[in-house]
Amino acid sequence: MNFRIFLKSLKLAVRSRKRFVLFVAIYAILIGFTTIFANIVYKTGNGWGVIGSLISTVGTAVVYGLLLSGYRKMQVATLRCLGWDFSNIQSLFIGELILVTVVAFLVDLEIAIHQIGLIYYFTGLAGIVQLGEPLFQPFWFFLTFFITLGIQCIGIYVAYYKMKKVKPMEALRKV
Amino acid sequence: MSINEVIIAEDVSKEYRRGHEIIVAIKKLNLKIKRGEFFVIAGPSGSGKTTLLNILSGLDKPTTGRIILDGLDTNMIDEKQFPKIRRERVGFIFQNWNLIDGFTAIENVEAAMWPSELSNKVIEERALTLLRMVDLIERKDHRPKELSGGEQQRVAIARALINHPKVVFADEPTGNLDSKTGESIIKLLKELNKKEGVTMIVVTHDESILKFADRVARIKDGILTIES
Repeated sequence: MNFRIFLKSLKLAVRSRKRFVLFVAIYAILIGFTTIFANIVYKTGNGWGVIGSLISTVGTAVVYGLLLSGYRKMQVATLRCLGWDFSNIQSLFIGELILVTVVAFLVDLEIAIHQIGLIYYFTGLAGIVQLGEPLFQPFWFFLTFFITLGIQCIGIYVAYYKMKKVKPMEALRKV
Repeated sequence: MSINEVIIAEDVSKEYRRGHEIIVAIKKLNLKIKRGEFFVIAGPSGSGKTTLLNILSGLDKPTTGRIILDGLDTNMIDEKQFPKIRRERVGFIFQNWNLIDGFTAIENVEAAMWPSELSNKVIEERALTLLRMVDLIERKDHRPKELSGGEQQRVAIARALINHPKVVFADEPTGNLDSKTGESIIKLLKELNKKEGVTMIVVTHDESILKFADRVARIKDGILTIES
């Protein structure tokens, strides 16, 4: 992987604001739900929720990979004309997919920290308000993050598979 | 084979299959383009100009015959070697500029060299030199959508030159520009052709470009005729 291109891809991801924010929100929800459902499995043994969340995460990774490869088709053809090979182009996708997952995780982490803060604040008020236990259990939360990061490999593969079909000649096509 | 020629096409033909029909896009083409030449290929839409450009640049392979690009027979080059060859020897300018929206002007110019071993500093210095050359240094941090068509094409020209190419292929470089901006772009290409000594191969249907050419070839129904 070309590290220089990887770093540029992070910049490129942030600059594609709407797509970036949309997928950060989706992944934040998915990571949140998967963590909560994983905790339920641990406590009750009911695994349907976590299976559903994981399937949704895989589906989102596939859709994201397809969307990226479609959106960047002309860019890929152009970059291939400029002498980029497949591994260089793959670095461009990896950056965005990883960044989105990490930022989604940080959003959830922020929510979790605030929720714990609120619980302790109100518990300190002589138990007037009971907010229950923290939304995210740390072990399940971190495990879910790493699983989601791993699932992104599917998105990367989908984007890579589609991108390999793009011929540099397509950059010369008239629109 | 002479070292004075950057491109040699020998008995090149290109055929496509469309259903049961075989379309001959290029017929028995023989051509030699000298180093440092400003070579224009003119022809109407559908005459085979872009197909010819694809073949001459090594983006596509001929059905028969061979292309020698800067001393390399494109038929003999392995597909995996092509990116490096393009990166080191060839530049492209497109009709639609094909700049990457998320990158600034300078990043678009530099992008062609990111896969190389060169340091960021060397790449940046070369990009700045080129942006100065195309008179866009003050717009270097602007994104493509903040630039006019002519400015975007100048960024694309700088990008095509960043790797010190032996040959630049320009596909209808004035096709999406008004006549005044188009002429300024061709004058710039001509100036860079002289200054940098890079061979320019321009494909166009715009007759006003022909006066800038060292040699003109016309293509019609896949047959190329060299005029001057």
